[in-house]
Amino acid sequence: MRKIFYSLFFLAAMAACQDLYDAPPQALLEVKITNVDTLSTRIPKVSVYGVGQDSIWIYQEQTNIFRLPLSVEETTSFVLLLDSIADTLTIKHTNELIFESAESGFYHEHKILDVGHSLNRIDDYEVTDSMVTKNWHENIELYILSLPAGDN
Amino acid sequence: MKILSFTFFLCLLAITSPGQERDLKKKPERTDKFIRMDGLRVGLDLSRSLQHLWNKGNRYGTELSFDIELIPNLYPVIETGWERLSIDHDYLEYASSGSYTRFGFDYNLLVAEHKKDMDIVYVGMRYGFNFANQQIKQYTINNYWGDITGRMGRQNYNAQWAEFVLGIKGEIFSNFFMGWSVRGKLKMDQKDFDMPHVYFNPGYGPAEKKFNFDISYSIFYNLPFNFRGSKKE
Repeated sequence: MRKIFYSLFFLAAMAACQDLYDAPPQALLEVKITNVDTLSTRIPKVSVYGVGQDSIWIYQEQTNIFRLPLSVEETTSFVLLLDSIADTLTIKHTNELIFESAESGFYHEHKILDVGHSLNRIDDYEVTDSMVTKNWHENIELYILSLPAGDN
Repeated sequence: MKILSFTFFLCLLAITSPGQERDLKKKPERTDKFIRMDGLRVGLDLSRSLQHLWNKGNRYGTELSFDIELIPNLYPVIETGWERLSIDHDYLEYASSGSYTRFGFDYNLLVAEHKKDMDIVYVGMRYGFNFANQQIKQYTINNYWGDITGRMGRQNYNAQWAEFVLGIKGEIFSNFFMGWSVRGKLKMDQKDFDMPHVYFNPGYGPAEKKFNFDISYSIFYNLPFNFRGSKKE
């Protein structure tokens, strides 16, 4: 029993000596989706991938709020599939390198300069806050059209 | 309310009453008004090389100290050393190093019974300053659009701080001492940068903190030369 206790104490002491580091925070653009038809409460099924990227960022998620990673280029473009209807969302933005700490490292914050989109499902947009920071909050509200009759 | 007023009045009466007055100004005079350590004491801080055990990253250094009993129970002190901190993980490779110096004094609180009694319990103050540099050797930011890596050049900086010290030095055998101290460090001035901020101050500790605690454990040797020419009983 005593040996087990000493072994556990030794392991705990070893674990205490190990340095643990956190990953740096990430500033993500938060998008809120609102139906133009104010009577509709339908939440769309969302898929998102970056233009030119192989991997999908969000896959078939039923939500009206989602977050997107911006690149460190001046413009970042996404393909949004809202209930399988594709739209392109293009964000023009600035990038600022931020030093979080020596324990976690660096990350980028962004400021939205302009937003462009195709007009398939997205009807309009509003930039609610142009600053994309590590404290995630709503940045863009997208107004979407209701699905054509028969697609519901 | 009346009870409160009455209590307050009684307290006031007790404070101002001449019968209750105590002579707080009179302190018993020290009986050890003599120099007990004639030579110069040189110390090596053993704890500086073990700091990685209670600090994040690989922090180590060397520190030497010099003190002398200038007047009975008062020891002017100079401490000088260098420190290095390196942090290496998936997202950052950081290194900081530099030299530092502190000077000040220790005052012995322990009343000695005879001149051979060299043990001291002391409080002291220090003024410290450093010259240091830091470098981001590499950083990595994981991103959906592709990982971003970069590096930053060497940056030179300096800082100043005050220290409050409490410690002991005990003579373990003739002219050899061991002792520990606890220190409170108050930052007074710091050259800083926008990118990245100074993270580590050699001799002081984490730069983002206005106040730091530290402990040290040292060995000392009293160089046996009597520069005063005084005789020991």
